[in-house]
Amino acid sequence: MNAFQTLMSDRRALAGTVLLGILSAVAIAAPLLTSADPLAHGNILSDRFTAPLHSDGSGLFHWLGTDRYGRDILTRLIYGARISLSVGFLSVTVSVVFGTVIGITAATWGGVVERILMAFTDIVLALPRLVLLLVLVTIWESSLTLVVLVLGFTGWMTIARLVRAEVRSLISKPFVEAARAAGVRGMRLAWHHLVPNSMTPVFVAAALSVGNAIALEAGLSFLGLGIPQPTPSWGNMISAGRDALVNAPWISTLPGLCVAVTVIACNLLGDGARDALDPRAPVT
Amino acid sequence: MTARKALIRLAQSAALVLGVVTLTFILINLAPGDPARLWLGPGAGVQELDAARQALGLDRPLHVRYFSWLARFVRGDWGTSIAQQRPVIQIIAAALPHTLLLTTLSLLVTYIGGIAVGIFQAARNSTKLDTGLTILGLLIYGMPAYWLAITLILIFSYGAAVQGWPQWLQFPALGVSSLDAEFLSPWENLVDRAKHAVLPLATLGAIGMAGTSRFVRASLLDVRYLDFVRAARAKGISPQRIELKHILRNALLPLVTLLGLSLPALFSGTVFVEVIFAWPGMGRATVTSVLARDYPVVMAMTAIYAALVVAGNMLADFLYTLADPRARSSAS
Repeated sequence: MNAFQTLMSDRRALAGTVLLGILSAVAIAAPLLTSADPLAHGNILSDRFTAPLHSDGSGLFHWLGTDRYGRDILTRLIYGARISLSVGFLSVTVSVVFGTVIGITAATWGGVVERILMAFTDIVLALPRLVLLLVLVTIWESSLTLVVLVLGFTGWMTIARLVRAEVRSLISKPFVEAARAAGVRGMRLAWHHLVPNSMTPVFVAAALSVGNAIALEAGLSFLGLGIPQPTPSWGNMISAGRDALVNAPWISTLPGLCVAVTVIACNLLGDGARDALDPRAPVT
Repeated sequence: MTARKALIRLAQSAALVLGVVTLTFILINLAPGDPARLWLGPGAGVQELDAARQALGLDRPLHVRYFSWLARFVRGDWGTSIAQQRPVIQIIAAALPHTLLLTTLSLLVTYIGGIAVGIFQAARNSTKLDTGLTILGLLIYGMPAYWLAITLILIFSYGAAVQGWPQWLQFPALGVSSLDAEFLSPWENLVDRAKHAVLPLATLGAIGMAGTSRFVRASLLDVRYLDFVRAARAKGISPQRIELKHILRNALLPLVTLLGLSLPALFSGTVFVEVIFAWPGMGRATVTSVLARDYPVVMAMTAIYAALVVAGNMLADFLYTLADPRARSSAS
């Protein structure tokens, strides 16, 4: 069995992958799934706050209702999936790349470099991520790129620690010694021998942090510091619906449900991957 | 832990906090926004802005500002809030107790509840009830804190009032006490405060419990099949003793480490919960000061958060050496 088959033999990993696959497909196929415009306001007076499974004043049927501007919630949820999922995956990619570079540099250089890099890692870890995010987001004008970068550069610490520990244990292994004896050095040794062999725990951590990143993006948007309106993200939809919570609870609760489902899918994938790919990890 | 090791650990922790405040200082001071302009508003003229910059010390170079700031900060002079025009120390003194109360109580709920549920699930391993609880835990664990908070308000503050649920099932959604708190008897006051804490605690506690119970259940099932448990059974030790002394004790040990590691996430969670429930703690104060670019307050807040996280980790280490004889012997 190759790694993917091993992974898919775990029921949770399979469920998580299928769920994430469906969500991604919906996000990619957004224009095919709905003809409505996620941004355009309808006739606000007659269309706003239409309850789910009802028709608005203009006679249009809405599966999941409308918000305060008469925009279709389902459409915004589908387009919101694009933003939320991209933020999750892109920011974790940034974290993984940055964390891997830090971790592998620390482990292969050793000495003062390692001490400085790991001290830096500890410093960033000592601050609650949300506080760091708040500070970073307000320093610059909020935008999609900023949210991705800021989430990426506050989530790399665990990855760096994992990679460092993994590479340190790899360095004394015979295959690395053999590669060294054959004259493989520096970047080439790191890229071809050390990185590929230390990626299993990184994959597990990455899967778990995608969910976390999506929830945090929603959180930032919820505090009004994330993706700016009117671009729909699940977070700013929750935030926008908060004022109308009592009269139109669907506006806030449905995107929240989407975040929860995505986070659960990522957790399932991460947990499953840990058990399927890493035999030493405790069984859950 | 020997005294020397403890001292080294203390010095490392202090260095860590210093690192955090230095990092925050650099980040904040590289920011393009101008606190002077924010302070005076858009109508300010050039001369007024210059005067304000001078008053705030913004006209000096970065490293000079850093060291003079650090010297004052270490001596406990944390400056004045730009937005609120009162000493930063006062703002923190007002906010910190509320956050400490919320986090301590939610840690208690998290661990007592989480351990109980985990033990229950491990004992009923692979039954329908166990699977059901696992799925429920997964659902709660996946929910963003702010969303769970909103949902609880919708049900127990609004829904309960509209549906006319009994009084003990209705909980206030905002603040730490009612507006008429001053006129209540001491007992009524306590009840009033407790009721205000229920929904914030339920939010943080439910999420924490979901994580902890998952961990405890897995850890218990893991330890149950290890060799030393089998050896203990073979020696004829009573099942109750094996469960308590051999399995439970070893399974719960990693929880101590988890306590230290979970603190940053818990503080992140309290930020949302405090904002939603208008809980006047550190999280709400941080959000307010960040939005107002009130940098003296932001600096102090990050220092306090870092100190709390570091102190929590030290406490966890200390508890671990108490709980695990192996750690004790290797440390001395």
